[in-house]
Amino acid sequence: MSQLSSLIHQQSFSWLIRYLLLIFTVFFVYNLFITNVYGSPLTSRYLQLSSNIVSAANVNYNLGFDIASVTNLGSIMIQFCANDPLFQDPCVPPTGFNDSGAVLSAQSGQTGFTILSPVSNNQIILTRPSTIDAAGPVSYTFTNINNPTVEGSFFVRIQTFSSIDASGTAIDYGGIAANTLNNLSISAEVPPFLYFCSAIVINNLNCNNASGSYVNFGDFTPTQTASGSSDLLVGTNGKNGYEITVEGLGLVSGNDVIPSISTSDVSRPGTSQFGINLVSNVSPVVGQNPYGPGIGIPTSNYNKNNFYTFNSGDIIASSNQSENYRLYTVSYIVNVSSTQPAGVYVSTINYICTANF
Amino acid sequence: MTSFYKYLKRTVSGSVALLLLVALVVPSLSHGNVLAAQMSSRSITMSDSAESGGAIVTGVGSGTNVTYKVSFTTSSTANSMIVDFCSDSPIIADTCTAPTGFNAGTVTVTAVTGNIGTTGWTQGGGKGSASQFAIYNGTGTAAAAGAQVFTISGVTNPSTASTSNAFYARIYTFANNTYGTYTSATAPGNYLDYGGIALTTNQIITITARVQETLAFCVSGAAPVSWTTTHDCTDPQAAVSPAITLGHGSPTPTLDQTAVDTGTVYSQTSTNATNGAVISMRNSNTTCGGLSADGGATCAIPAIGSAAAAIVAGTADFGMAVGPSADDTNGVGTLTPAATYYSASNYVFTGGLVPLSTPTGNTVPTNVYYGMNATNVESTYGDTVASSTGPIYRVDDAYTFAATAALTTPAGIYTANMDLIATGTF
Repeated sequence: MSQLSSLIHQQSFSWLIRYLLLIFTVFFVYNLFITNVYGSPLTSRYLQLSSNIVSAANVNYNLGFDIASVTNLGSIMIQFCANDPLFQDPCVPPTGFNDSGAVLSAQSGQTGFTILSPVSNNQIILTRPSTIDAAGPVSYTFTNINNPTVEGSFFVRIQTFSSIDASGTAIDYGGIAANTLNNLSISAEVPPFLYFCSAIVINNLNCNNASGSYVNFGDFTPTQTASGSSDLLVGTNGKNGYEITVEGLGLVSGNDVIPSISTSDVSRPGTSQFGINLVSNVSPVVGQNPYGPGIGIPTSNYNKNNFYTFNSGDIIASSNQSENYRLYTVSYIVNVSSTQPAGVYVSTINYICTANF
Repeated sequence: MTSFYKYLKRTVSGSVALLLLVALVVPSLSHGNVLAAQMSSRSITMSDSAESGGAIVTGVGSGTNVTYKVSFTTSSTANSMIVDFCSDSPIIADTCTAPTGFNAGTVTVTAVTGNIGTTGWTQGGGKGSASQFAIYNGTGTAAAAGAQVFTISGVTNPSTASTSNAFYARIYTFANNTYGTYTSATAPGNYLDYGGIALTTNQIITITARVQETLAFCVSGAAPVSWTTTHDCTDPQAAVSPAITLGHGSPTPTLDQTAVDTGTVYSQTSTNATNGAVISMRNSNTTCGGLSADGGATCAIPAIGSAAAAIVAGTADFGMAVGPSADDTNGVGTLTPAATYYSASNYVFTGGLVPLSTPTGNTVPTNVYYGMNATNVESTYGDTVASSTGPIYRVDDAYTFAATAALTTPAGIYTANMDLIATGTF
């Protein structure tokens, strides 16, 4: 009888152990998979994109967050989903998104991670030997990711694990929303410019301020040089600059001519001559050197102080690159000999500017 | 015949009266106390009606650590009281089976009205169990006739293993502080006042609500004032291409040295990011940050710089100005423009938040200052142009891009693909 009682007691004790073990197992599994799958929330979560343009390729993704739990950290799972950032839901890959070629180019905070192979099109697992971490900010930069091909929101799900392969219980978790857009393009056309005007006076480097077109030398005398001036203003975005050419016949009065100075020479009162230059002079006092933000200069024959010349068709000034505003003052001198026939001498002079684009 | 009828009538009436008298007296005799009276205004209010032993193990819905507020009105002064909890019936002296999983054995009592539960009233005294609450007046004041209200904290409700949600309480009071002649729920002895109460447990209502991280950001060529359908990024107007052609004249608008030409695009941002959102701008011309005619190798129309400044016609520059944000319909929050792109004293539009409030034909005043930090817009993640410090909803912004050409700006088609990027920090 006592043996039977003992056996009953032993059987009861055995069943009690089994019962307790069952309860413990259920409790453990419940805590493992139900109550603690997602751990604690990661804070300060963000995803910076180097481009949020739809379908952009080779985009940099900089993922950052604050580690919440101080424990062993061996892996981080990053999922990109089209539907939502919630771990309870299946993850639908964003259309066209591809991180299979992603490269981990930088990491800070908790470091030592590499990308665990193989990599699916919308999931990256960072792995390292499981090491105790510290609370604080971390960031991981990936290159060579292709954006979704659909405009709008997509989501990131982040989970940290003590295991090295994102298995087991997640430590911390967090979601991020990101966004793609179509391109914002800005275009502008800059046309070829040639800004050129001539007048007796052009003030403030502005052709709107040009005035006068007639140079009156007055009465010529053999003892005094007659002089006058006019202005040329030029600017162009021609990348090879410009040339200003002079065209004209010199001073004539019917069949009588005041000869033009074909070879650069000084002013010689008493000798019939007509010439020009584009610089300042003291003999006579006339003209000024070119000025303005541009860099063009008169050609050599027209760039000597007190030396003058005039040959129709000559290039009198030029630049080999685009020119901001440049004002040239053309000085005219006229001398006559005592035998110069009387008459009204006139000349029409054309200045032609040609830009080289 | 009439006499016999009267005799019969008297006999029946007398029998009925006798039966009624017996019916009134016998129950009182069976309770052992001819002075017993049924309590009035009996109730027990539970702080949690969930069954214990369910999926929820703590807090509301767990059926544990429940507070019972017990109320009744007595007609006699009492010095002890018992509450029996039974799964089968509230009838005094009937069979009482303890509710499965129920436990009121280790509770705390607090008086609300009356003396039960005040100082000097003590639980136990030879009574009390998991299904029985017993309390007596040891050194305190007797509970006079009248309203008695007290709470019992720490009760565990019947569990999910119960066959019925209903369970019952039977309350008795006693004249002395030793529970009179009470021996059990089926033999309650000489109680004074008594009463039964029905209680029930319920399935808890589980409410789940998911608030996920959100970031809605769109850029449109149409001013938000014209987004009249939905007022958000789903509005058809929000899909208007944000492409800008800077220039003036016709048929082909061109840039030249005579004017500063402008164009405006608009964005709307909504996010529940706790730490706010940042709008960054990046230029596809990653080596020069301005407008380029050679695929970004050089920018003959350069970025104006990191300090907001006027763009002067004839001095080639490219910049952008963003003004104060505006809340669209039902909008909440603010995006603050960055100093590089906003100068309050140089962003003065007649009539308020133009161009946000003007659907077309925006006229940008000449006093507007622009910025374009070349270094930053060339960088990997761009330059911050506006930001918020917390969640925002339907916040509109206007971005006015401006450029002018110098006389020397080489002829060409100048382009830049500007990438406005919204980043939320959750």
